[in-house]
Amino acid sequence: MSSKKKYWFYIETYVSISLKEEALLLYNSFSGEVLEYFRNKTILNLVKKIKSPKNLQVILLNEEELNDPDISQFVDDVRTYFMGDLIDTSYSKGKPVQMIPIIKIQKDVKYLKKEGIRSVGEGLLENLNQIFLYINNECEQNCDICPKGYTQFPCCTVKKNGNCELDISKIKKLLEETSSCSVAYINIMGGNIFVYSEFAQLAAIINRLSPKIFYFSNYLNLNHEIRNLKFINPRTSSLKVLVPFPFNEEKLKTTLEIVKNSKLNSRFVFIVQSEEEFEKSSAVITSLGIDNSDFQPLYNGENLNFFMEGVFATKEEILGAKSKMNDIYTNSVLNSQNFGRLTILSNGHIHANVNAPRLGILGKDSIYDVLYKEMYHGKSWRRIRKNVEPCKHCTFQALCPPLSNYTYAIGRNNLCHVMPDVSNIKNINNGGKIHEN
Amino acid sequence: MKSSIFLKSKKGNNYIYDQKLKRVQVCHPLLHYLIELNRKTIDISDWFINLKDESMIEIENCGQFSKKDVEYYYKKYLLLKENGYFTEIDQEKRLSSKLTAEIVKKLLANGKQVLFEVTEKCQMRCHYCGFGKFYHFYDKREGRNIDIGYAKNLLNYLMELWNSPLNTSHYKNIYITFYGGEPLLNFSFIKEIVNYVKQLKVLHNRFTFSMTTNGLLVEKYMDFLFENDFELLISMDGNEKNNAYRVFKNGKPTYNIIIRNIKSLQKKYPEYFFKRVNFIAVLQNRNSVSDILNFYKSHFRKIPLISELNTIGIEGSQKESFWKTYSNMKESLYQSEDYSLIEKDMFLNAPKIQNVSRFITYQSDFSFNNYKDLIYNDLEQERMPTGTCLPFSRKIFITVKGKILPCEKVGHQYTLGNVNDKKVELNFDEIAEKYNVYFNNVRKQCNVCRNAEACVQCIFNLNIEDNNLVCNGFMSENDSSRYLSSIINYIEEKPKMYQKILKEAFFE
Repeated sequence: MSSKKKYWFYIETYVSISLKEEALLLYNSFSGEVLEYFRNKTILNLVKKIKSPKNLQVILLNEEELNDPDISQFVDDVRTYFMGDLIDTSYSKGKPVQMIPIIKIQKDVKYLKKEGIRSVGEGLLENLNQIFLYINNECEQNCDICPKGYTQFPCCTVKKNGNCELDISKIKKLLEETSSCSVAYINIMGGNIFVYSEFAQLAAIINRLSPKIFYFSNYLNLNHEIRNLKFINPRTSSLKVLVPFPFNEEKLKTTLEIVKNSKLNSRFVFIVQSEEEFEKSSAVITSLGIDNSDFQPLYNGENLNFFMEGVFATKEEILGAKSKMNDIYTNSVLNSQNFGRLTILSNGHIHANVNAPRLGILGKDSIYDVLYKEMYHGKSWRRIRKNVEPCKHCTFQALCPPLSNYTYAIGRNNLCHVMPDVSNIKNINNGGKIHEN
Repeated sequence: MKSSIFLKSKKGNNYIYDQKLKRVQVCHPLLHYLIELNRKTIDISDWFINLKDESMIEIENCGQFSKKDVEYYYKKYLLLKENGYFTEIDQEKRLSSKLTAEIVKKLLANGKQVLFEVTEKCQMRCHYCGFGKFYHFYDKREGRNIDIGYAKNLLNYLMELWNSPLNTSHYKNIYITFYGGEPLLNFSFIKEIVNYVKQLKVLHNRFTFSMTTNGLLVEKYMDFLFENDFELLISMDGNEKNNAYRVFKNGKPTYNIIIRNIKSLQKKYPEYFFKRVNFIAVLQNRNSVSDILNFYKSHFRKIPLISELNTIGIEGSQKESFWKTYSNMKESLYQSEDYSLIEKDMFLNAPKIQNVSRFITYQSDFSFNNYKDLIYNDLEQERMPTGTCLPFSRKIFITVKGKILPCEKVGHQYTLGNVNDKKVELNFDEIAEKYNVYFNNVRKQCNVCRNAEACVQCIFNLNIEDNNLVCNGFMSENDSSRYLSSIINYIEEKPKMYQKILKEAFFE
């Protein structure tokens, strides 16, 4: 590179730039590589300049600037990982621009709130994607995980203060109201769903619908002849069989037989609270030859170490997900784990997330009002890391998975090992570089 | 069709735009060189392997590059390729979606505007009127008024759809719009419909009344317009000279009366006037964009809408006279001395800014219609060809004779149904089929058009029943490259506008 030359230095549009206080992260969405810089004022100022609206990710670098060791190293790193480039200014008659990616939603809630003539409710029902229907809360089992489980992941639950059931006519009305929108999944949950008094009628209604249906059941509620099982349509429906600890292997075996004979697609979900339970489950899955299975960790208030080791994400794991720009856009505006989901509990209470305040009551409030409330206030569907502590200070916030229900149970938002303790940062990670001054 | 297109800006910078990925980025000349080699069907891997270590690649205006330089850009080329650049676009599949009766019905349940042609009567005889000497394809004007029964019947029909599960919105506004002729000449209809709409028991919508008027009766009915919070669009082409085509039947000018009416409205209801009254001016050979803007800014502190004359359906014998009257917006703008100032005033209505904002909206990977599109980002999802609004997605238009049309700008020969005081005749299967036939007639061109993703061409502005029709909006790769370059040129020239446009441009 001739010292007399000047260059246009630019960052590629497939690179995500995250600048937080004293930290900078460049993420190449094509390769998954990162460059991190901490407390390097020269680099931070340079990137601030690159990000300024008038520069559109392209700046001029002259000989003097390129001789600065920090800048020189930065430019080399950026070029090495194909995150940007230098172009000799003599190749053209003026400065190029990058059409920098800034997420834009035409029906953006903030915009619609300000725009008096339009409404946050435009195309509202189209957002609904998944319904969790807790049809009853009656169950004879006495699981340790109850009622913690359902607040952390899709799981059955009983309430101690009396049995209740969702009125079939109210369910029917709800399904009619949502019939023309794009609900893709309906989850039938309990209690023991098979003792729901109108099970046959419910199945008959649901079998006519286009969404995919999942019936959730504790394995112990499926280990004897179930008359109601025959009403489930195997073409559109599947079973999710929940297996909490401690489980009875013989009974589990019987359940497996019954499920196999039912010809229904099924998935066994082992709910584990420790490494030991995880290993036991793995052994049983192998010994019983269970084809489709998952593990679902449960936080019980005392197993934080298990979560820290098995659930909390490391930088490598986050980067291993190789997020694309679309994932980054998504994480910066909505919670993809919550968005489009509605849960109706057996007492009729409707929530966007069971850990968030009630949005309405089935039969009393219209589904339109309920969805409007969630869309307008965004307590669950738009609960994102950008707005919560400590993630809002972290350069990884848009690369991390969305805030899950474990954050409510554990009481912290960053279920990760990412928030930088700069004194420990030494390594190159995932092909990229970490720099510290 | 290749997904990537090269662009060169006026300043000589290279860019690459990938139509499939919807992404544009700066491109180093050497990378450009390699991609060009690949486009010439040279196997770039073989070419690179066979390149001698001492070889130098010469690029015009950029000098020579060593094999080491080439290697760097070869690797970058591979990275881009691995990530979806330089693929083929299956546009035929992309544009293969078909309209169904269910979709049409749902669109009607979710429409944004009900537009009544209140009357054929008008006190004026504007030289360029859409129902005048220049045009054919409209029902003969016989001074009729719309039957109130037709309108009420249609509203009842629509109310059932608005209250059904097919309506996916809540608190969404629907415009009830009165159109003419001069709508205020049938004031009793307007008054009755306003009262009727107010008592409709709709569950998920609210209504806004609006009207396009020539302004001659505004003073007379201004209390009613104010009380019902009408959005008013007054047609006037500028100052007295500019407005010379807008005359009474006897040829006398209308300007002074309209100005008096508007001033009167402004004086009596200043806040309403500020918030709810706007203007539309027709650009023609007696005014200019600059004239129009200066007039409205100085008289009313308003930025009006400006429309060109409709160039479709011109009567053969009138062509010469029409084109004499016609004025082109872009030309008028570029001839202005104070272009930058005008552009600032017009902002999203200025043609260049409109192009940039359309590009960002429809051809960028970071722009989405709604949250759902963001989550399920499917760049290859099938859609329908052209930029035609799907039937009733924006509005439903009812003529004085009870004909149902998708828009007031669509010729009456494309009627989709009828309404009378007994029933509403809308056959959704037939409507879907009609559109599918029209789309089929143009699909062949769309399948190879470079602007298919951002097309604004309405099929009703083409000779749509001819299966050999020629689309005015068709873009070849060269056309597209020029068009995209013009967008880049603008942003290179005014980089600060990029984020302003992103922030402020919203399309419904």
